[in-house]
Amino acid sequence: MRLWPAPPPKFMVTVILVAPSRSPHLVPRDMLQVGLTTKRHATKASAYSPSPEDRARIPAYVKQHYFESTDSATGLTSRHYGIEIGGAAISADYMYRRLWLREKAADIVHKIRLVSKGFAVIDPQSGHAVNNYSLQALGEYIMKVHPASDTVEFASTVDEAMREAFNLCLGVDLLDPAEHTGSNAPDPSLTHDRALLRGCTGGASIRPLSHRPHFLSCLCNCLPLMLDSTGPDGSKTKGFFPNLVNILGKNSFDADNDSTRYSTFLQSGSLITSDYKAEYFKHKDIFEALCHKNPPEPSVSSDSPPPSSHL
Amino acid sequence: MSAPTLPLPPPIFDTPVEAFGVGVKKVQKVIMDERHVLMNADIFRRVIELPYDDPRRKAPLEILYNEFATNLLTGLPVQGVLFKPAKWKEQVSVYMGLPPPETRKSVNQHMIIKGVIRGKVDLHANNLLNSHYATGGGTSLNHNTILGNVEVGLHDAGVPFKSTGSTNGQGTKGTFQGQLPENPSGSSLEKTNKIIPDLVIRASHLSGSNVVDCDLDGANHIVDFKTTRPFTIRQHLYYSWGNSGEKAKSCQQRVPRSYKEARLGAARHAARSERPNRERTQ
Repeated sequence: MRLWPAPPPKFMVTVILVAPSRSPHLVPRDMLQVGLTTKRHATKASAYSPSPEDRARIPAYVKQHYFESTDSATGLTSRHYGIEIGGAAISADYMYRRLWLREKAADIVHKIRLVSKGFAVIDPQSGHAVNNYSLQALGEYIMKVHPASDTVEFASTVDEAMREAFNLCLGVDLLDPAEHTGSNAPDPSLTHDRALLRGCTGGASIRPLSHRPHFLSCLCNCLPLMLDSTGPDGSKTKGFFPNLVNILGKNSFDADNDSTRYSTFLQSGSLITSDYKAEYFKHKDIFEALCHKNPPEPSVSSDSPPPSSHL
Repeated sequence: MSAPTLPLPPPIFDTPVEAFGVGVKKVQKVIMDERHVLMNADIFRRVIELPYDDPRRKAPLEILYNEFATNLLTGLPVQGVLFKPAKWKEQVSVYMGLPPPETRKSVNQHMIIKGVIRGKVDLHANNLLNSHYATGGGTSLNHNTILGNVEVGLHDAGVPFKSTGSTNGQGTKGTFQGQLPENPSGSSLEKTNKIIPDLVIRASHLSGSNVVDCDLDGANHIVDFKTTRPFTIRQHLYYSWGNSGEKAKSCQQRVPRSYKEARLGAARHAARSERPNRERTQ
């Protein structure tokens, strides 16, 4: 039986093994049976299990991705196993995720430098547009699909490269008040803050990855899709991973339970839970600090800005 | 009948962590939009608090309602408005109110315009831009902008006018130069140009326009705009800001004297040019 007409699509085959007691599924053979091939991407077939015993049972032709690290104190080299699924590093080993993100950051930084330098020489105006609308988005997906506590270093590396790229195309470091505003000038950080402000309409500005609520937004979108749920009109939606019911709570995402939908999740004590809480309060604090600085009374000054202005 | 305005939804962070983002399709967008409104207000408040002569104050305020200018850093390059690399970097600095990179190299050097030293270059190039002796400076820019705004207003109101800006000979220059002696030379030309007004408003046929009585109705008017240099000396700015119209009044008081001088100059020139003809005819 063929699922697709010939020629078969070129798929990257990935296997994840998370159940230690089960035998590994030999997915490449199954794929051949349904008309898919792994010949072109034979090396892409990969597997992972957190337990060394299970990993030993994975056939040799299935790749087990790992990073090596050397302990500076003892000089011993250790391997950190994991797997990449859908552009995200999956591993119970924190070091694997860290090294994977470091590698990704290096790739993105290389790309940012290559592109921005090329554009800056030919046409800085176009280079700035590319920085804004293309290069700045390179790290966004990774920020969305990894726990926020894992991506601190990643965000800082990519932000640094983006800052260089912006400087190259703008001819000035807008984020460095000392460069363009003397220490005697009032409000020396004004230009820095203005550069960080993205206009309400019409595009981007310098927006560090670390300032964006990607992870929080992604969780709010994805968690309700994991379990079966009932809508306000009684319609049923099938969840993708009903086996997460113990972590997310039965019927948590039913319309009747909107006000308590994350209660069970927040008590689960997982890494993602703590990151969710940390991100929520981080962005709430930013919002409240701005509210505190700008109380919402309407201004009586004739200098009031238009509602959609972007300074 | 206007559509009823819906009340704004409460801020997204008003919801507790247990129910965060319920019913919101794009959580990230909502968070950032709410934050940007506050950031915008914060930046605006801080900009207003800066001294009047601070270029970081001037830069955002003068383009506040100009959608084209405010999109400099966020818009895509378009074929019609492409910047060369040096010009782009210069423009970015002006947009942010920072010292332009080109003048940074020439700070404290003499400005030599038409062979004469006209002051020194300052960090923000204000002296250069505001120089009376250089074309396209801040003073003439201010003058032409105000003139343009008034012209647009008159055009929208349907009031006929003649402007010095017209280049087809139908403007005030064409009208008034015809009345002046031909080929006045040197300083005389400069003085006679001062007599030519920027605008002639034909409002003799109007009365009670716009429902209320207007001072300009029922007569034709000649209007001349007197513009000061923008944002150069702090005391001057405080003075003019605190006592609105004082600076304009002092300018206005100087106008009759200038006109008188110019009229006398033109009359003398006319007399000189007519005398030999008379002698010859005798």
